[in-house]
Amino acid sequence: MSRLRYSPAAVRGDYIRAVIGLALCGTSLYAVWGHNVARWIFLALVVFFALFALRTKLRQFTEFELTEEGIRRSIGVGGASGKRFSKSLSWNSLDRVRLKFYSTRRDRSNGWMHLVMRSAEGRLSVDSTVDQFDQIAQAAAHAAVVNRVDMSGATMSNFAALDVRLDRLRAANESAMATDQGPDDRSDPNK
Amino acid sequence: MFRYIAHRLLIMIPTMLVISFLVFLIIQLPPGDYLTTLIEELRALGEKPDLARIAEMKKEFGLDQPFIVQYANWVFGMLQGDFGFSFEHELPVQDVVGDRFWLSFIVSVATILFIWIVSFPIAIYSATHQYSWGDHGLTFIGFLGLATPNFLLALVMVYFANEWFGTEIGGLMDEKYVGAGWSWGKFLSVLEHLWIPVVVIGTSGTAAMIRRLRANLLDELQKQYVVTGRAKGLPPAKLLLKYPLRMSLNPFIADIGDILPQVISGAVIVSVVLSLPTTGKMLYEALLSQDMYLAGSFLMFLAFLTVIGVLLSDLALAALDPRIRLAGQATK
Repeated sequence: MSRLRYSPAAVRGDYIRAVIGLALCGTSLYAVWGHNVARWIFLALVVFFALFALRTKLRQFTEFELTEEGIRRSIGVGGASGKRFSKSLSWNSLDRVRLKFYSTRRDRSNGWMHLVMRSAEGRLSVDSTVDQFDQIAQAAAHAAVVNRVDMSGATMSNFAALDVRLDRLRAANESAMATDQGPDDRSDPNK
Repeated sequence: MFRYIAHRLLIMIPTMLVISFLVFLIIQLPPGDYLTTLIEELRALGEKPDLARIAEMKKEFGLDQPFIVQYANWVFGMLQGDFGFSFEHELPVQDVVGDRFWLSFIVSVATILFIWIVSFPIAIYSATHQYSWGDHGLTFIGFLGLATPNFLLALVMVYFANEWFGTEIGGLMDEKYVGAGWSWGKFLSVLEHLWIPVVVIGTSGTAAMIRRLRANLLDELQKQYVVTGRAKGLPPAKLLLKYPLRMSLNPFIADIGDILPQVISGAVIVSVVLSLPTTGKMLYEALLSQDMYLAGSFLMFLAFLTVIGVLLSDLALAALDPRIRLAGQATK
């Protein structure tokens, strides 16, 4: 089992962004309070950056447990003795995977990945700013191949960029299935 | 996506600030200001300028203040909806612009819709019927559209409308609605007159879009996954619409940011030729007469449209095709 957390550098960067956004938009909101349209625009921006700050705070206390059975996300609130909110997703029930890449640069360099996994139990998403994100991506890709989950072209490209070889995983999975079925089973696929 | 929007918004805010500074710097760059130009003009006409009144105006509008103070006042005013004072019209900028802003907006949005609605089916037909008579004919018309300047097309349309139908096609509404408040009748009148500027301004954009979408779709249609799909017996319509068309739409979306200011600034001469009550002609005159707040407000409006357009197109692209470029590198 691996315990993974969002990297402190990434969390710190998002805190800085939230504070800058709140400072800029809050100052502007104060300046334009008398003007109706601008007031609502800046109020919406202030709320947006406040939510961003709150989400960053939650990420600071988020921990992922990666096991062979699945992945579990828990968010600790109120210190060591406080409550922990957790959500699990087992690899067996995984039925949808999307791996997205976001970049603020026009040449799409220097961005980050966002992995979204769904099952009947719910939805769980992880950013590549989590330590050892490659491990989670590899496990999700393996489960997607085993469960024969359809993946978009963008998701497959993004897995390839992470050096997750879906073709090898598929070949390994088919070979394992063939071994499990045995020689008699292989001769009659209806069995 | 939440994090992405936060990143993009944080880039957008300083971008607007830098643009506002550059706009203010550029409109201040020519020597003197509107008042010194006015003094020169009066002297050239042999009249004696009222220097006391001019000094009073200079103080009133803060033109005697340092550059940075003038800039700060301008930006702070804009945030509060005060875009400054037009010296030439002797009215606040928002009163001078009036309906022109909304009319420009209507013409621009209608032009963009025209460009997309016309170019989309033509480009698909041209790409799927490459080197057919239809493709050659549409390509020829497309090149004609690219090569014909908008103002020339406007002049040609004005001439033939007058010659063949005996009608004037200038303006954007019937005479009786000019200067009147907005009403259902005025709106219908604007719609009736709208098609001519939309066709004139949109022709070159349509031609360019047809060429680009055709080329992109042809590239996609020749890729291996399409050949495989065809070999496996996928229906042609599904084979076209499912992936190749979606992939070739990216330039459409990426263009949202550029197309709006291009349409507005490209319509300046057309608005002069067709006597359109839009912002184009006013911007031109404001730049000539150094009416700095009026010109600055227009330029900020164009910059704002560009930045918002780029933001929307980036968000749409990120939602539609969140794919890494293999030459790039994903980092933490």
